[in-house]
Amino acid sequence: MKRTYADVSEEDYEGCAKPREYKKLLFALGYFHAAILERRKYGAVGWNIPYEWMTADLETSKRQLRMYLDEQEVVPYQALNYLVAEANYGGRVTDDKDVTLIKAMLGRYFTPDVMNDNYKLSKLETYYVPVEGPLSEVKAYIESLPLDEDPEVFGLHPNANIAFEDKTVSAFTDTILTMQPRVASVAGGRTPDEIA
Amino acid sequence: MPPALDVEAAHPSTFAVAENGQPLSLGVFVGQEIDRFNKLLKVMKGTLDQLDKAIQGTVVMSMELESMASRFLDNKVPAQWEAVGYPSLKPLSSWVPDLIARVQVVTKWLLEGAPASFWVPAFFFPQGFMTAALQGYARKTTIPIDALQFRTAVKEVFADQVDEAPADGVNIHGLYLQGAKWDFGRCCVEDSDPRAPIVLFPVIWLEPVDVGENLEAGCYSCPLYKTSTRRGELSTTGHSTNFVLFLHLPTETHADYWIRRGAALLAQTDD
Repeated sequence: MKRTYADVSEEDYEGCAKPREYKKLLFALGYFHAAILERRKYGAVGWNIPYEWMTADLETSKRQLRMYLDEQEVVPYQALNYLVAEANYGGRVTDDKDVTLIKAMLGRYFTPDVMNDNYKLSKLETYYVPVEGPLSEVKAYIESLPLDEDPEVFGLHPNANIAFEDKTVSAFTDTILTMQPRVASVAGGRTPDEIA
Repeated sequence: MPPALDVEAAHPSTFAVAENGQPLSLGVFVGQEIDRFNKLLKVMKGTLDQLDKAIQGTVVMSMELESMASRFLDNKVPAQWEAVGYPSLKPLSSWVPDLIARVQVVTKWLLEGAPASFWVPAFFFPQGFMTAALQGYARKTTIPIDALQFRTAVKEVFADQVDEAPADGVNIHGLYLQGAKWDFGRCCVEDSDPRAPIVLFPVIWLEPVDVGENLEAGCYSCPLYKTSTRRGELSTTGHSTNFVLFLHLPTETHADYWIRRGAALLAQTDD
């Protein structure tokens, strides 16, 4: 999230023809970017295949958002959803079930509802689209968000944490196993400890 | 080094492919499955014999045999077996009972005819089972198979309470639901209980219906995968190696909610 705003200049942030819509949707976009990246840590429950999305995807989407808002009378939600979820980010997505998922993810954030003040981005109370204000206010809001995220933030059930912990532990035990001594000791031979 | 040879007790006696009077397409399917099981069991027996001899010193301990022995020590399935086996993430200690259960199911089908409800996780190639079941109906009614699809009717019971096969279509059981649970009574998918990310799913009746029917209304198109890895490669037959089919489960919330939840049916757990 912070990264989204790190290279947004004051001028750009205030300069859009539809400041309210731009600010709201920019926040939603940043949230989307963070959520799909974070989902990867939950393994297959998050994404079937962990994709390498990059800041370039975010940059492109940001610019297109600005352009569409500047040039069009009404906010083209459908076009924006298509561009961001299927073209920009979706270009990397190869699994068809993941395509459905990424569309569902963005559909939650790029919707006319986002214009309602304090629209909740997940089931949790903590994460909402803040009232449009100066850039510093948004940054302060992002800073205030908890460090430890509930999987619910990304649309997942809290149980997804179990999957994440499982994955971490099995990676850990696998590493230990590869360090296990493999030399069978013959009677009278030295144990690996003695050799070391 | 403990030779893990007691697994050999798992081998059932050789079973011959016999004409069992089943509807043709499902019969062909079970024949193919039996071939696959026999191949796996043959490889298992062969490699275990070799390893036994190598431990006794009558044949040379090759690289393959040594890696097999160390896989045993790690409680993992040897690569030689995986090569001819089905996708599974189970450690060896539960892989073996799972294999025995699969072989029993297929053997029972072979000797006693089709069961009232099929344990789909038993099969190497569940996609083939689905097609065969649909084809059986297509032949019976002479409706082209392309004009048919399966409707998911969840029976609110588990397999031991089902004693009759449906007139059309098939009953299947033994699937697990990850990321959601089945709400008995309300008949829809609901959020999981805390600490229960994966639950056993009740019996499903796959009912063949016309392809024009919209099954997605009010339903979440839940993907069914063989293992929890979910990802799979496209095989030459156009099937994913992991994805089987979409089952349409009724929901009271928007389907997108379950998509974001990552809810999916799995044919087996990892443990």
